[in-house]
Amino acid sequence: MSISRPIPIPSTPLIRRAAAFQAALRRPDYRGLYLPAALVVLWSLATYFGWVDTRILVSPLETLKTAWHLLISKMLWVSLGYSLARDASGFLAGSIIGLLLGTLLGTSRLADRLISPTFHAFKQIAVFAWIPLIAVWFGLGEPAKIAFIALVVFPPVLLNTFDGIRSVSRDYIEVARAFEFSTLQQSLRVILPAALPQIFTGLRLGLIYAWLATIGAEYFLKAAPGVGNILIDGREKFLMDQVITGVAVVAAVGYVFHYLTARLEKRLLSWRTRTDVP
Amino acid sequence: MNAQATQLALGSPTLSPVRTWIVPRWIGQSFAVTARTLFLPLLILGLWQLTSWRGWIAPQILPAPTIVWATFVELIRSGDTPTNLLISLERVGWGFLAGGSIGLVFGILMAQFPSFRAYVYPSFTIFTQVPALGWIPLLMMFVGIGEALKIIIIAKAAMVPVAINTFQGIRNIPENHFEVASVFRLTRLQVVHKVILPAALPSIFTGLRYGLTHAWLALVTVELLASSEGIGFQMVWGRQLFQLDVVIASILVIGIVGLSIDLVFSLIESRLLRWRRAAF
Amino acid sequence: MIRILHLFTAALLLASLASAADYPTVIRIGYPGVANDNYSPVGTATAGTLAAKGILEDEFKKEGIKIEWTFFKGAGPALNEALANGLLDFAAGLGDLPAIVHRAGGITTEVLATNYRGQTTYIVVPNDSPAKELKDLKGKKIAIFKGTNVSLSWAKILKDQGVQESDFRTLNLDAGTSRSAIATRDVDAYVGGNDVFQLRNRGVGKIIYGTPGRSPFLGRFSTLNVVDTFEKKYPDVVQRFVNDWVKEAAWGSKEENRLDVFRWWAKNGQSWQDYKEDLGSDTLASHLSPLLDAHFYSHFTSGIKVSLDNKLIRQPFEVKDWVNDTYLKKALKEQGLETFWSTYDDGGKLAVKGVVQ
Repeated sequence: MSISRPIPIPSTPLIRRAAAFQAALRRPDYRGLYLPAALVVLWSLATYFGWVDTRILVSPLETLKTAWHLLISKMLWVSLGYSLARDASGFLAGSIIGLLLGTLLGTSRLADRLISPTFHAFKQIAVFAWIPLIAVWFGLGEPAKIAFIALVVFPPVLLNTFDGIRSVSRDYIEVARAFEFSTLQQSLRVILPAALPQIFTGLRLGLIYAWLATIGAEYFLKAAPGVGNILIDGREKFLMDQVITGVAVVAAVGYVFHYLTARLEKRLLSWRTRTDVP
Repeated sequence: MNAQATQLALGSPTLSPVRTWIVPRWIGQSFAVTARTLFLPLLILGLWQLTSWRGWIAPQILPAPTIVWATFVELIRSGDTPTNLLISLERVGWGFLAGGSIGLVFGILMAQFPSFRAYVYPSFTIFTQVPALGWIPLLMMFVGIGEALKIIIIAKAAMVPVAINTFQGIRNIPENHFEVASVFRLTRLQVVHKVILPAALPSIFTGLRYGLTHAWLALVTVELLASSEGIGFQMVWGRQLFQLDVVIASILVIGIVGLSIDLVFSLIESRLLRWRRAAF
Repeated sequence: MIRILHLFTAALLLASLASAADYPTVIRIGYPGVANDNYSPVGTATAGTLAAKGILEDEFKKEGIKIEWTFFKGAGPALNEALANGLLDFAAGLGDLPAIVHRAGGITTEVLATNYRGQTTYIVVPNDSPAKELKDLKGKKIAIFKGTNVSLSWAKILKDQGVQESDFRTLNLDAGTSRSAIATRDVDAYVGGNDVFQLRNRGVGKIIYGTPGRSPFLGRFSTLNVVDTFEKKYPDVVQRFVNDWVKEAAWGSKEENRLDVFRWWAKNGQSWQDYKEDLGSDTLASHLSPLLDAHFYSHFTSGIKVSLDNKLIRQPFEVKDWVNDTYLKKALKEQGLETFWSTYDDGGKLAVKGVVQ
């Protein structure tokens, strides 16, 4: 039986969305690029016509040239290495503290009641307010920076670990008890996997915060090789192209972290059926 | 200070039989809660006082709690803290107003108009990736170090969570809500008033709450860098002159403000969203 | 055979232990300031040239002692933080106010010698500012690095000009940021040292006030300090340090080395002509004299009083408890320089003429 004319597809919201989705799949959406492109054009015009002080505003071409020079020079990669090393150390320190404390608070009601109120009060203090104290307690060098990063990382890790462990359903524990699991088996095979998604969210947040804290630490504490120093240097010397390059590097690293952890999460937790969209 | 002993002494119902004929249960319970909440802070305070008293840590690095408290009171009395705090709060107020409104508008536009979203969303995500701190050097070169810089940074910090949460809040409204609305033939305005707003309000509220918290955080950050007044400046002044008690007293003030903001929002939230029958 | 080896290693260990008792493995020195590029390990005055020339590295190479110079962007206050944490053994060229602040705060150091005396302070405004003197800047934004010796000089300048701190809006900014702020007209004035010449040379600022030619009371001092625990433990090291210090100060005080001295200072990125202009007709010796004479005492005693009045410190202390001039005296004697420099009296006027003046 042939179809003389196509059957009209009713236009309900769901079908409309599906159709749009199909269309988007077929043709990549370039519209997102229009705004940045327009900004770059505006920027070029501004430098060309001198609408803004040209001592400060540098043309996009100049910026690209500087960026290229920085990229092929060793300095950028060396600085990046230093920053990432700090980031990693601080993140490690902070997450370990967060994981341990979070597990403690999650498993022990008493610990929770004793420690949580104080923790919440401390969390309220704007984190950069600690910088002067950290500077005096740890000096201005590497230990201070790592301490600061750890300070920023551990609250989200702690909270999410706590949430994760707390949300492990009673039923799971009862099943474990029915199977007569030992405490070790219970924690490894029941509690940990159940809490893992939430713990992972905490670690992801911690990683994002760690990178921000790294830049902040480099900015506020003693100057040392690092991406933050590129920013400071550029600002003091009025090299806007250097500052923009620095900012771009910060954003790029943040994006890379974001992407990598998303992939990792998908891999590690693929056995979970996720109902929410990441 | 033994926790168990304290709890026993205060007649906690979990460790001793209920003796309602001596201490009414609710008094015992509220005492127990207060005791539990204050246990760790008092312990820390005690340790702190001990270290200062015994001189285990140099007084320039860790001033005794008594000195810090005296400085805290003195700063309030001399008018330093109130003046600086007022200036800081004013900055946060304006910044949050600007950033919050822009964020709301952005969020609504992005949620309701797919074409707008298509143009703006990718740039928006990149914009949010760079923290306020990253924008400061760039912005400093354009607008200098005056009030404008601070307000702009605070506004940016506030805008991001508000926009994201508003956007998500509206986007996450289940389709069937709209379908029911179309069944009832509601006008566009009525849809906004009766469907979108109530459903998205919790998210929007969370966004506003995070926005204000981030705004406060951004304020402290920016005041640490370049300011002649404000609570952040007070902290810097203390640090430069090596008066750590001033620094700690300022941190106390910052913490109290942060706590109050959070508290106020919680209260408003529980009031405003009372009609929700949440699962938890 | 094995036993001989064991004996040998034991002896070596003992020897290293013994030498370890006499010498530290590293000497940590702090300098309050950074070069224009934020990296180069150079500075001005005796402390700066000592660092730039690597004299101490040569001095202690034999014992294998490492010399660690740290240059603080945060100047005096940042150096104080490092001192408080026990991260430094010496503070070379520390300004008078930060030194007073840390001593009043209870950090026990000892003053060994003067680094620079009578340092100048200037007030610079953006090029197009209508202000001609300090009074014109009332209510305006002024950038000052609080906690450095500039802020002490500032307190004295205020009194001298008959105005008060509350007449102005003071911002706390470091030197580099302050200079940028003048260039972008974010602040209406900047109170600083001879680095303000950089702004004038670039055509973005003009100097409306300077301490040259005015009362010596307004000048700034900087000193060489040692942490007292280090001094008690390694007095020989301290003596050799002071010996080198005095030798370097003597080199710098000879007028025939004038241009050379400026060239060494200029390694921090500022033109040597600026230093020449800043010094004017003064002799180098009158500034670089490391003596701890009556002028030194009166400057610091009055400095303590001014700090107390301006609530920069909480409690006063005695200068003579703070000074340890035994090393300086010994160094001067050994090098025959006891009458080399002039001494100045309480009011900063010449008391006893020296070989160089």
